[in-house]
Amino acid sequence: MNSFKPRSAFFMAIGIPFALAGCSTSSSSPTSPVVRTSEATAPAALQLTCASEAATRFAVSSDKILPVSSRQGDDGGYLVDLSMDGQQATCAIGEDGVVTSLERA
Amino acid sequence: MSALGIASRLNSPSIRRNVPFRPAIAALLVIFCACAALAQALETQIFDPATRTWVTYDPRQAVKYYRAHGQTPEEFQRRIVDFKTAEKPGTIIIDGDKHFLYFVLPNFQAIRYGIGVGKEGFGWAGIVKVGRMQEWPTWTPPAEMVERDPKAAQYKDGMPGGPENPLGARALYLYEGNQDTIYRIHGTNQPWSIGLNISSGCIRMNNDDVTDLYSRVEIGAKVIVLMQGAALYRGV
Repeated sequence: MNSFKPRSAFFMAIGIPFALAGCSTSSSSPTSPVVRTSEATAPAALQLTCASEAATRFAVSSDKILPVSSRQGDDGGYLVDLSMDGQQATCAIGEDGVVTSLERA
Repeated sequence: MSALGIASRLNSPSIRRNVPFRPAIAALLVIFCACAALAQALETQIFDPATRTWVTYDPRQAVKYYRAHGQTPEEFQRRIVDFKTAEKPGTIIIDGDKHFLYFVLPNFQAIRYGIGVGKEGFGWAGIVKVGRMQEWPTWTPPAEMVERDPKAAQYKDGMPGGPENPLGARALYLYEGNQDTIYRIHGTNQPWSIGLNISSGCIRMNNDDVTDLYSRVEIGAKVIVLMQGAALYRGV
């Protein structure tokens, strides 16, 4: 009546820990974000890189330059609008943090 | 519908058959809608696995999530992240759109915290500094709140610091020059509200996070607040 065999015990001993490890791995590592922002804006670090570049290029105090809006461009980079002591400028920056263009509006 | 969407619909042959197309009206609509889009604060959305859609993360969703998980979504949990910036360590950078506060560390890293920010019409941006800091601050409701809210009225002379106090465990008072802006970075008695546009302009954090930030910040630290469609700019 008893169908338990040594070979079964061997596979159970090997298999159960792997199965449990598989469960614990899949449940503890979410692969996608739970939240997002309603519109894609540039990461804060990239916005500030644009502000820093504008301060250097236009000789404006960095305390007078503020990124006021941003959006994702067609190339995957971002366009950042800057307010510079009463003037405006637009900065194009790649995801790698390289400024590709910077022009007064 | 977007401004461009409305303009293209006005240009479409099916619309033109019934409605005389007026370029001036279309132009005004484009300008109006563009301004409205710029003025609108961005909001958090949360993925609903049941419907497999993104839904607005409003106070009702936030309370529901907090009750189910005992914490805010993972993205709003405190963590160290890469952060390439020319700003010096000790600077606070607030991304009001994404609801993150960064405390700049050496070696191009930062501590990222989840925050709640000003509701529609109360969001602001600018460059200010930490003027003073307070443990378990007293909360004094503004006069208009005292008038309309009997609960607030009982604290018109100030609510002592404590777990029920809306300012939470710590407050960092933000100054423009030597003048108090009336805005603060503070804790909260509503920990579920992180990730929302919910305050009257203050930056709120959960009490553990604001206590951690308080222990790192020095008086005079620079604070850069980024927010698209801000209703007000300070210090620039």
